[in-house]
Formats: sequence, structure tokens, C-alpha cells
Amino acid sequence: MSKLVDIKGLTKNYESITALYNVNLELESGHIVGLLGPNGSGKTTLIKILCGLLHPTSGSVQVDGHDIGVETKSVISYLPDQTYLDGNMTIRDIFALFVDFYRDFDINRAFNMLNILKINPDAKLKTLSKGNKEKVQLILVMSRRAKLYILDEPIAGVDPAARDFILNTIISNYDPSATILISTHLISDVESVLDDVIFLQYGQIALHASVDEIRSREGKSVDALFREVYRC
Amino acid sequence: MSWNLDSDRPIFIQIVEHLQYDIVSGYYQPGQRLPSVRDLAAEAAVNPNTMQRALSELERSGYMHSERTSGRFITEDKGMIDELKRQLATAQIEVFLQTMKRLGLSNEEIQVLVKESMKE
Amino acid sequence: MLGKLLKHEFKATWKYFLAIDAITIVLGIIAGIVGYAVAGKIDDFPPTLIILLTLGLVGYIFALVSASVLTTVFNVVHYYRSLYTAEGYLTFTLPATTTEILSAKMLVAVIWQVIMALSLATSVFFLAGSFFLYGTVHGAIDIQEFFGDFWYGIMEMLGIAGVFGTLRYIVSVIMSIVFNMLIFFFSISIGQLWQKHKILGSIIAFFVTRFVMGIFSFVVNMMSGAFGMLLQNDTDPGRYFSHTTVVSLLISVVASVVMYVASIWITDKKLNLD
Repeated sequence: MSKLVDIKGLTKNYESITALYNVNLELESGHIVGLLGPNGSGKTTLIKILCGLLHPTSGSVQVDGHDIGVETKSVISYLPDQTYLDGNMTIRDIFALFVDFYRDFDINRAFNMLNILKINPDAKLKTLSKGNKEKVQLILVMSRRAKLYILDEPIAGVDPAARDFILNTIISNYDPSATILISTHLISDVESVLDDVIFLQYGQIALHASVDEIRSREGKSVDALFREVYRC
Repeated sequence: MSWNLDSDRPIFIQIVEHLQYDIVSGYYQPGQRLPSVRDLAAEAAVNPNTMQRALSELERSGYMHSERTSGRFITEDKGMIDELKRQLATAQIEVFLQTMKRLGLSNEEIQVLVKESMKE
Repeated sequence: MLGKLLKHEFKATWKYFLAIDAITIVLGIIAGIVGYAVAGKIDDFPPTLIILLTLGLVGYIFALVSASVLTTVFNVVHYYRSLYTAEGYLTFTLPATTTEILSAKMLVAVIWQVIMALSLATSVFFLAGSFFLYGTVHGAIDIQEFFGDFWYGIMEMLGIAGVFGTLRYIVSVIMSIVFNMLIFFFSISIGQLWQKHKILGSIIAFFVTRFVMGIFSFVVNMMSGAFGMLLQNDTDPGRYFSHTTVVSLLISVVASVVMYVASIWITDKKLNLD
């Protein structure tokens, strides 16, 4: 299978800080990958570069064989780590927007998930609770048939029930030919849904291995390993 | 809803074991149709790819088979299931016996203790 | 893609702008009706009523100014919010180029500004029209005479008489709307170059750009010969105004193109959402 993500020699400097230094990373299709690391390790910078929200200082980044641009944006489904929708829009409006811009958006799937949650599609986004807003955003992202899903801290600061809903939504909408990149610092919560983990530290990849490989080699969970080795 | 998997052993192995126990215990009857990979993965709260690999492994060993259109079924070979039950039981007994031996018990003493425990 | 962006841009903004435009026009109609009713009878009114009518007129003018300011503020805030706040996470991950995204937003903003200008003109037309109508009905104004001599005289003095002059005037009004909006958009882009205090950066950039453009425009105008015209006693005011209009128009076209390209370039290369 061809490489879905191909990053070579990626460096990103902000004025005086180096957020990423000489990162090389290849991801194939059909994996659920955890992007782990403490705050400030470069996770969000890497994600923003993949999504085209930041320009690299140097190096090359390709997704699905294209440089970052219109083609890659149409195959990446991105969940930012904050609420990002215009509060004056209704859920129906935002669904219509997604239908127009993303050919892979499955509106029936989106309405089904909304129904299960018993959220009114005519509600304005600003009237929803924070938890429901986040769920609507997850529905939008997971209703696309994208090649690469990038979820930035999807379970940070949610209660256990919401966490279960989020993980369940991700699992039950996962298309085995797609790859999901989940960034998180709460490793233990997502460990069992990951194939592989990438661990970022000081802007570099410290480890890229499969969860079961780590467990059978180390005899401990990925979470425990990282707590010991990297103290995060 | 999760399967209470241990956090220090490979998930793949634990899924295979869990499914074997479900077959042996009769939770899944011989010939019964299994839920889809997606549903099983959601039930176990694990990666669908890992669930798929575990199911393939169990197919390779003959405990289940998939029909192209209608899904995946538990084997109807009861002898095979009994054999699996015997294997799993033996494995547990071996672990048990090793522990007993470390406690310094002889085979006779173990038998006596087991019989007594079972009466209660 | 540009079409879809324009469609959703209108969808997200039309309610606010059409409401302001409608209020502007309705106020003009009300002012016109009142104007027609009181025209010619003003001398017989008690002072209190005259004060009230004056206050009404002041209020009307204030409302028009507010409507115009509000439209600009809405446009600028919407542009900023949908691009450079959390909403930018959606806007800039749509499968479109930065050029398409920014162009769609700028174009829709300019269209709303133009519609606002038309609404203002329509509103004033209703008020002014009511007096003409009254004057014509009661034989106080000779329409032909008015438009023939008085109006044409004003237009000639401002250098906008004739079909060509009027067209040039319309183009320069639209161009000045484009130019003014682009100063806002350009300043917002400049503000993004700051790591912190992006809004403050934008505000500073706005005043600096305004100031520099003002000086530049004045200097170019004077050097192009307008200064000489001002000093000559026999300069025809129409020629002076049409000269400065054309020079200003050229300056605003060039400056607009530069600011348009720069806004897109900066956003494309330097975007960094918080």
C-alpha cells in the first residue's frame, strides 16, 4: 500500500523557538495511530502543518501523494482541539455547508448520529452545551469518508460517558481503508483503540511502534512505559 | 461495555482469548452468527483492525468461518470446541498446579484440598 | 469553488445587512412622508413642533451615519472572526486556495458596502423627492429649470457632469469603497504577523496605512499638476475636481491591487491561528 502521509526533514521554527526539528514520518492507510507527547512537544504544530494551517520552515510534507493544498484538504477530516464553528449557524446549516464543500460527507450518517444523541438539528450551535458542541463537531468529522482523519485532543477534558461516546463513534465509523491520527496526552484512555503510537518529544519523534509490540516487548502498557521513560 | 482487558499484555492476544472463552462457555453457540467486526470492536472498545486480526486468527484455527455475504459463524464442530475447552482448562490447571507446588504441596495433598473445596 | 464560497458567505451574512439596509430605506420613506406633510406649513407651526421636527431630522441623519458605520463594522468583524479566530480552523481547512477564500470574503464585503451606499442614496432620495414632489404639485419649483441649470451647475463644478463624468464618478465611488475595505483587510493581515496582540497590531497597521496613503495620495495629486491649478485664479473648478478624481482613482486602483495581493500572500505564508 502506498504511503498516506510522507514527511521528510520537517522543521518548524517560530521566531526563537524550534517546534519541530528534522521530523521524518511515514504513515500507511488502514491504521489508527496515537500521536502522543507532553504539552509543547510539537503535536499541534505537526497537525496544523498536515492540515495546511501552518507553513513548514523547511522539509517536505505530502498526504496521499500531494503537497499540502486543496487536494490534501479534501481528503483530510480534521477535528481541532477547540470549538470552531460559527455559533449563529444551525446544525442543519453546517451540515449543508459540509455537503457543499466535501464530496465525501455522508449527511444521512450525520443525521443518524444526531438522532441517537437526540440533538435538534435546527438548534443554533451557540445554544448547545459545550459537550454537545464537541459531539456535533465529532459527528461532522466522522461523517466524512476521508482518507485521513486528524483528531486533536478529542477526549481532553470530557467526562467518562462522553469519552466512551467519542471512542465508540470513532470505532463504529472507522473505515478500515482510512487512517486516523489521534493526538492526546491521556494515553491510557485511548490505548486499546490504537494500532501504533508515535511519541513526540522536544519536537522530534522519540518512538514509532505498534501498541502490541510495545506491550509484548516491555510487558507493560504504553501508558506505563511513557510514564516511566518520558515522565509525562 | 468494555471487555476489561489488562493493560500490560498485547491486546490482540487478549481478544483472541476472550473470544475463545465466549465460544467455550456457550455465550456464542455452535453455528451462531457473530456480530460484525465494527460492532464487536465497539463492544470491546478496541481497534477494529485488531479485532479483525483476532477473528482471522480464530478462523485460521478453525473456530469460526466466514460466508462471503452472510457474515462470520462459529464452527459447528462440537468436538473441536470441546478440545478447545480441554486446552484452556489444562492451561489454567497447569498454572494452578505450579502455584500449589510453590506452596510445597504434594499431588495427594492437592487432590484432597481440591475435593474438600468442591464439596463446600 | 469560488461560487460555493460566495454562496456560503452570503448565507452567513445576508440577514444582518439586509436588515440594516431595509431600516435605512424605510426611515427615508417615513422621513419623506413627514417631509411632504409638513412642507410649506412650517411657518405656521408652534416652536415646540419645529424643535421636534428638527430633532427628527437630526435623528434621521444620525441613523444613516450609524447604519453606514454598522455595516462597515459588521463586515470587518465578520472578516476577522471567520478567518483569524477559531472559525479559521474550518475556513482554512476547506478544500479551497487562500486566494479563493479571501477573495470570496472581500468580494461579499464590498458588495454589502455598495448595497449600503445604494440604500443610503435611496433613503435620501425619498426625503428629497418628497420636497420636489410637494414643490411641483404646488407650482413652487420648476423641475425643468431646477435640473437644467441648478443641478447641472453643481455637477459641472464637481466635474461629474455628462454621461462620461457620471460614469467616472460611479466608478470612483465603487473604487473608493473597495480601497477603504482593502485597507481594513490588509491591516488585519498585517496584524497576524504579531505573535501576540494581533488585534492591536491590526489597529496600528490600519492607522499607519491610512496615514501613509493619505500623504502619498496628496503628494502625488499635487505633483501631478493639481497644485498648479489651485494657485491659478482662472482654474475651472470642474477641471480641478475631475483631475483629482482621476488621479485618486488611479492611486486607489494601484494601492488596492497591492493590498489585495499582500493580504493573500501574508495569510498564505504566515497564517498562525491560536
